[in-house]
Amino acid sequence: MTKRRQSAISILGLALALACAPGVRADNPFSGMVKFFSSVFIEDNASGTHFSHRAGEFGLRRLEVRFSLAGDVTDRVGYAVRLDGFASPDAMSLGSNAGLFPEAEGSGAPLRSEPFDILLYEAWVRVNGFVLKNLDLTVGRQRISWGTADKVGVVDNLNPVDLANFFTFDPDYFADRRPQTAVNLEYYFGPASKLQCVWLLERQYAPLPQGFESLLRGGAGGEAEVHLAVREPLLKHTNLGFRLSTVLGKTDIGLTYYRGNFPLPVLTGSALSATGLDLGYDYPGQQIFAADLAGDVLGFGFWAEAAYVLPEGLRGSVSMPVMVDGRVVDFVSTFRVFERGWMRAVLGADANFSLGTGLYLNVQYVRGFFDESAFSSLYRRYFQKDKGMFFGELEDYVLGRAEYKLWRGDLKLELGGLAELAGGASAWVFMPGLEYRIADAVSLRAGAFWVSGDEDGTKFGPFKKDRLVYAAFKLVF
Amino acid sequence: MNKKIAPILCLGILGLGAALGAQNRSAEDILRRVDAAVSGPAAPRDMESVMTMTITSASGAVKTRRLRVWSQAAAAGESRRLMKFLAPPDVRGIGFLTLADDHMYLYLPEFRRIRRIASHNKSEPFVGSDFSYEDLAASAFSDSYVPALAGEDETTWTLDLERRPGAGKPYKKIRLVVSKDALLPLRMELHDNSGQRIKIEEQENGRAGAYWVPVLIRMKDLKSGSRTELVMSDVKVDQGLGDEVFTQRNLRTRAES
Repeated sequence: MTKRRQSAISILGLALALACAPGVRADNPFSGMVKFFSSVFIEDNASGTHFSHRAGEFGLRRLEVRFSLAGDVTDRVGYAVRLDGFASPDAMSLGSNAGLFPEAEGSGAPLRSEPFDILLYEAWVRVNGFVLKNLDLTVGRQRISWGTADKVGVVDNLNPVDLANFFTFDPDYFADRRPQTAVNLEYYFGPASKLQCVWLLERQYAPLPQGFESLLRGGAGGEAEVHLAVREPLLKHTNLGFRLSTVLGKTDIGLTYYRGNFPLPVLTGSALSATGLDLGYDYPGQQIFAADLAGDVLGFGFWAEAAYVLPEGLRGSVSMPVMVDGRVVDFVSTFRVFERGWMRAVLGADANFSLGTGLYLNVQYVRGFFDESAFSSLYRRYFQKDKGMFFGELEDYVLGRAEYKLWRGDLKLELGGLAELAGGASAWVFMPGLEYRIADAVSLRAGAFWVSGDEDGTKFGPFKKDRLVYAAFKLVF
Repeated sequence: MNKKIAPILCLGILGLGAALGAQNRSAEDILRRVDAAVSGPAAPRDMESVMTMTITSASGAVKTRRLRVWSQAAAAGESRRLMKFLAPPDVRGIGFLTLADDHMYLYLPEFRRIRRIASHNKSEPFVGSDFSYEDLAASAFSDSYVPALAGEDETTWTLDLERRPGAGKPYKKIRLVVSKDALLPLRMELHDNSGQRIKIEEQENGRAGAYWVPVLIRMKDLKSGSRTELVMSDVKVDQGLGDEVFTQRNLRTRAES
C-alpha cells in the first residue's frame, strides 16, 4: 500500500474516531457517492492533437467513490473530511509500470488488475466566533469559492482548475476547481456582508491531464528535455487573498485581491543544442485585482466579473546554435514574457420561463479562459503563442445552457455549449444531455461532447474528431 | 321614472351599497386578522420546524423530502427564512436563504458555494413539489388582494379574494376558507390568470405555545393530478431567533453540519 493511500485511510480513521467521539453532535455525519462514468469515442482519430482512438473505443471508464464526514463537535466548532477514490478497469494496460500479466503486489493485493487511487479532497476544521463574535476561522484543505459567475469565472482564483478532469468530459468536472490548504478568516458584518482573508499555505498547481509532459516532449519532436523552475518552500512564496463582499441597493458586490502564482505552467525558455532541445517551464507569480456583482432585474438574474491580472516581470529566453566564423556559437535572445497586465471579464444572465414544466436559460460571455494570458509580442513570436490554443492568448467565448425539466424534475433535458471566438476562427462545442432521477438519490445521465467549427486557429476545434458519448450512473447516500 | 319612486329607489340603492360596503369592510377586517395570524403581530415572532414533504404523482409514485426551516415574521417584504434540506441524500445540505426584498440565496454544498438566485424562481415548483416558492412564503394577503365575504357558518368564513391591479402574485383569484378559531386558512382554491381553478390547498392547524400554526398542508394540482403533503413537526416558536440566524454565514454553516 502506498504512503498516500495509508495517509488517506489514516485521516479517514481519525475522522471516524472524531465523529464517534463522546460529545460530538451530528445527526448523521456520513454521506457519500458511488458513480460509474463511461465514455466512448464515436469516430476514428488515428493521430489527433489530444487523443488517438478508433471509433467505439472507450475514452474513460471510471468508478468513483466519495466518502464524506461532516458535523459539529460543539456549538462553535465544525469539521468536514472528504475522501475520493477512483478505479478504472483499464488501468492494467495503462502507464509505464503495467506488466504483461495482472500480478499482485508484494502484499498479495491485486493492485494491477484492480487498481484504485484515493485522495484527500477536503479536510478542515472551522471555529465560529474565533476571538471575535463575528469572526470564523477555517483551517485545512478547503474549497473557497469566489465571485458570482456560473462555473467559468475570472474572480474564483484561490483554487486551481482541475485540468486533469477537464479532459475526461465528465460534466460534473467541467471547469471544476480543487481545494487547497488554507487558513481562512471570515468576518461577517451583515446578512450578506463579509471581509475575508485567506492565506494559502502552498503554491497552487493545477492537476494536469495524463500524458501532459509526453505531449510537451512529443510536440518538440520527441527529443525535448522538460525543466521546471521550482520555487523554494519559503513563506514569501505562499499565496494570499482578500475579499470584501456586501450588498449595495439590491445588488451584491465583491472586491477581491489575490497574490499568488499561475496555477498552470508557462513556457519560459527554449534551448536548442547538439544534444537536443531543452524546454523551461515556470509557475510565475501574479496579482489579481477583481470586482464582481450579481443582481436581479425584472425577474432576470445577472452577474458580472472583471479582473485585472498583473504578472510578475518574468524574462523568457530562446537559445539556438549558429555558425560564426566556422564555430558553433549559442545565440541567445531574452525578452519579457509579459509586457503588461490584462483584463479578463464575465457578463452573464439567467432566467426561468413558464414554458411547460419550466425552461431555464443561462448565457454568459467570457473574455479570457483560465489558461489564457496576454503575452509580449516577442514571446508570441518566439514561442508561436497565439489565440486558439491551450495556454495561449486571451480569447472571447459565449457559454450557454438550457434546461428543461419533465416529470416533476425527475427528467432533465439539457443543452450546454460554448462558442469560441478566436479572431478569424471559431469553434462550437455542444454538450447535449439528459438526466433521469430513477429514485431519490439515484440518477442516470447520458450525453455527448460534440465539436464543430474551424480545426485550425481554435482551441476546441481540434476536438472535432474526438466526439464522444457518455453515460453515468450515480448513487448519493 | 316616477318621481315618488325615485327617492325610494335611491335610498334602497344607497342602503344596499352601505350594506355591501359593510360586508366588504367586514371581509377586509377578517383578512387583516388572517394576515396578522399568518405573518403579523398575532403570528409567532419566529419559528423553527422540521417539514416533511411527501409528493405523490398522478400515477401514485411517492417521494419524500425533509427540511429544517427557520423563519422570522416581519412587516410585508421584510420576513426572512432559512431552509436546509435534511433528506434525501442527493439534496442534503442544500440551503435557501430569503432576506428582505426577495433577496434569495442558494447554498450548494458540493461546490461550497453561495449563489444569488433571481426572484423569477418564485413561481417555479419548489423541489418538484406542488408548492411554488411563492406558496411557501408567509406573505400578507391584504397587500395583494381585495376580499369579499362569500359565506359564513359556525366555524368558518369564506372569502373571495381578487388580485389587486399590478400586484405581482401568480393567482388571479383565491377562494379562502378561514377558521374562526385559529384565524388561519383551512382551504384555498387557487385560480390562474384565465380564472381557471388550478390548485386546492387544505390546511390543518394546531397549537404551538400560545399560537395557532399550520401543522399539515395538502396541495393538490388539479391539472396534473399530483398532490403534496407538508407535515410540520418539532415546531418551536418565539425562541428569540436573532438577525444572525438569517445570514449567509448561517446558510453555509447550518447547511454544512
